[in-house]
Amino acid sequence: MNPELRELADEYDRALEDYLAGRGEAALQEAYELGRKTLKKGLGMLDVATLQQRALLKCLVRARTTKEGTRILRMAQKLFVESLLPFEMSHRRVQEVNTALRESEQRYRNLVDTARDVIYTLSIDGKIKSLNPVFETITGWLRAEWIGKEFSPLVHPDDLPRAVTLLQVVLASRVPPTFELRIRAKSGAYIPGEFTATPQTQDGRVVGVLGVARDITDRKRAEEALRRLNEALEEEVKRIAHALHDEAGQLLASVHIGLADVARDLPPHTSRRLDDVRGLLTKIEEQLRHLSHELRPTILDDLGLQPAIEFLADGVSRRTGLQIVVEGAPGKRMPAPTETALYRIVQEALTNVTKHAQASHVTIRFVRDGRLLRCSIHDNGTGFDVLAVQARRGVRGLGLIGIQERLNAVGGTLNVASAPGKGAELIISVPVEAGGADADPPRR
Amino acid sequence: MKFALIADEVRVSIDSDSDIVAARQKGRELAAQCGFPSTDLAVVATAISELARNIVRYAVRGEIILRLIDDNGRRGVEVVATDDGPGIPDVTLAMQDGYSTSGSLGLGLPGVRRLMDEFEISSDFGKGTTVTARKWKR
Repeated sequence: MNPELRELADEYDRALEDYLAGRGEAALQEAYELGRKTLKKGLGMLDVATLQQRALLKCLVRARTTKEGTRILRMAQKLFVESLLPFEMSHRRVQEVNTALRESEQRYRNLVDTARDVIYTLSIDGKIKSLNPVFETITGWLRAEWIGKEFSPLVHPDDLPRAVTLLQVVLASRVPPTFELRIRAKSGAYIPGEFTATPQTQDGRVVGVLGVARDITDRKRAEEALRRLNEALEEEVKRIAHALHDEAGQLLASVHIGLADVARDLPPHTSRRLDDVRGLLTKIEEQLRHLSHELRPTILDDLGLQPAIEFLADGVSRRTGLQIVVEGAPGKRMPAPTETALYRIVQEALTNVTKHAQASHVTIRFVRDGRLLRCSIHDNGTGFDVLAVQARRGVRGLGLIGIQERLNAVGGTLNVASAPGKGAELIISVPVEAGGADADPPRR
Repeated sequence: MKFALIADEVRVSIDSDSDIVAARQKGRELAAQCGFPSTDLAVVATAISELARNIVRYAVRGEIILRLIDDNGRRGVEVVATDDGPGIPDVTLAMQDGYSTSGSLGLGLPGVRRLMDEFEISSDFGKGTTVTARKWKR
């Protein structure tokens, strides 16, 4: 028996002696306090049982009659119950905690089992620890086929290096922003997934990864459809612009020549009246050129984004009096959809500024940052509450949704910084090929 | 909640540890009158111990009121611990295990709540605390 328990044993002996000597409640209170102390010291009920047994034996050997023995037994029993009550309280707490834990576990289980997104956990060596039932619905695999296995064969080979890097990031106790990976279904098809991943910690140590993966097939399809629609629209617009500029323009030029021809054969005063008609004709030509340009600036196809933006800025500036400065350079020519998207976004942004911002000055700045091209459009106008405007979904939220959609199609992102009275800045980032700030020759 | 009183209530003023024994004794006697089994007598005594201990520790002075009660033939013991000490700033918090060191073991007020059949607590910060706990005869 260790010294700690020996000390308690002495106290227990005393309590029993006191109780037998008729000290009643005070002795019971002693036993209770003793039990409390034993519990607080981290000792158990069995230790109390030991104390009880020893004290009882000591008293029982002194008993001379059966009656006395019975009395000792009965009283020792009462004392024992007192000393156990603190443990009873503690036990009830454990029961309550366990019940609560079970309920919480059940709630969590229900949530995980009925979730429509895949909920997964990984061990630190990249093995799949758990998957919820919807994994089977989405991928066609059985969960049993993957639990305990490495996750890597599930990921598209091209996405795997990124997935491995992200796993390292999470294991370093950081939370990456949502990311996309393609997952191999049992059918062999790849399913686009949007992932979150957070570190699972235990006593401050990372012991795994917990994440949610969403099947974004429908969204990808919609994006793709939208992209195709936009492209088709651009083609159509290009065709109309071409028809206006080239075909109608050439016809008008012929009309000009014809009229000049006729004018030569007419008397001077009649010829002057024809001059008025030719003046009107020139105006029509100008308007057609202007319209064709608004629809699709050939300069964008011929010379690239920067000259096109400068030309656009110049036009808006002359029409509205807004002072527009273009800084930096977009660099190398980009794929046509990206250039078109950027041109249209700047166009939309400038329209917004002239319609809503009451600004006097706009700066358009291009910065090439590795594999990203950033374009910011900054005005000094009235500004707006970004969250409020973005919350107005469906309603034309200052055309921001349109801008966002265009960016989605080319893998870009939009950041809006504004506050009432503080002007507004749209920051657009699109992925581009690395390197080269030089302008390439025109693309035809 | 008010229940019919079977006998006069017993009041024990709590001032020091020795008063705790007196309160326990009265409580045990009342519960025995009611016909409680002996383990339940110990339960009532334990509740009184924990409530009285709280008075001595946090309020210095207070009172334990013991009543034999009747609820349509069902008999029980009501233990009321009342003090005009500093009061408890956040009762919900105080009722959580681990609020005090003994709480993490399930002792103290949460322990009393679990041992007894009914438990009520009201505390006005700065005006003292009243805890009412009842145990019914099974």
